[in-house]
Amino acid sequence: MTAMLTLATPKRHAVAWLIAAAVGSAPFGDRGADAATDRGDWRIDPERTRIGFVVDAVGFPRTQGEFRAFNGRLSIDLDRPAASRVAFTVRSNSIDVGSAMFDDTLRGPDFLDAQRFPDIRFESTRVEKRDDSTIDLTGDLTLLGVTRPLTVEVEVKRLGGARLSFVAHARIDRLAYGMNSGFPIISRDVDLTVSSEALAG
Amino acid sequence: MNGLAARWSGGAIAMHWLSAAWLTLVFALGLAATAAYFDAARTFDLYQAHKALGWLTLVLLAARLAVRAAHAAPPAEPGWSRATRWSSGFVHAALYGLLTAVPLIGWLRVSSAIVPIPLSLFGLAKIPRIAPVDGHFSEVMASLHKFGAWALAGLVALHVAAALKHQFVDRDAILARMWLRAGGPAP
Repeated sequence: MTAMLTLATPKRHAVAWLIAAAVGSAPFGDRGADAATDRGDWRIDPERTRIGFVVDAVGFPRTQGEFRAFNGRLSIDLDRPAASRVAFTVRSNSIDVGSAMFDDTLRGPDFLDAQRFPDIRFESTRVEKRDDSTIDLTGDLTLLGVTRPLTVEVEVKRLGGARLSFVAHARIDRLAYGMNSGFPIISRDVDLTVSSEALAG
Repeated sequence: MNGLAARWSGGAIAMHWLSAAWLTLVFALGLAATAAYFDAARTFDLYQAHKALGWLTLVLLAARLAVRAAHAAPPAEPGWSRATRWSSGFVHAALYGLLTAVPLIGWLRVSSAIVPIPLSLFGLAKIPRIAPVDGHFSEVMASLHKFGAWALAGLVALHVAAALKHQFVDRDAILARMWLRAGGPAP
């Protein structure tokens, strides 16, 4: 189907929208895109964006949750892709696992420590194409004040003229950020899935 | 039939049935939390409710013992065999023992758990920790807590079966002494 986006376009364009897609906004779709999208004016559709995570624990169901408050910023330089920059910020106190008491525990000092560290940030540093619909986006993730590199796998798909859909997966080793509470009963890996749609204009 | 004088005190009767209802609820919450049937959020809430209400069983037990100490127990039933007196005494002692031990062991389990989940009475008050964090000790306590809870459930079943036997086989007044209304259950 034609909605499938191809990366067989000039490289600078591909890099631009790949970066954008990974953070919830994309500068353009294909060679035929209009000037506005070529310049990178895409925005996240918050109604269709979900930042979800899954954590496992021994003797306890898998915990699935999401962050309700987030913000993506994007500046794309089509001529110099390396100068493009992507920043994505999540409010740590917006965590929602479906239980108020559980949320409060996760916001507390043993886990997200939301009072001291209100934001979780991701900033891109490198983009690599894997295949026609997948990219590897490398960046720095800052969690609990610790910044470590993180590679995010992003699947992208065009949903028609002005709408782009993407799903990003990453596995975060929470111990690397100093979130040791409950290990090894609570797993060290946190699986992150960001699904979103971006709108042109 | 025995008159009013042979009944337990009103306070003792109220505490007995309140304990029965409370323990049933705490046991059901414990079963639901460990059943792996509910999702993580519901399971978390079930555990929190189980821990809070389970901790309060210790308060309830202390109140119950105070009521028991304030009012004399009714005199022993005449005509009981030595075996009946012995088994009754054993089951009641074991019930009180487990009513004390099972929540205490549960408290030790959550106090020493390496997963730092709060010990709270529904956010209204904190329950103190009574043991240092120790994963192995905590797991041992968890097993003991589970074993003790099932032993307590078994003893309660025995206790209920004995009451029914006295009511319907021996046809004595034992159940009437603890029944909520004077006169005992309808024949």
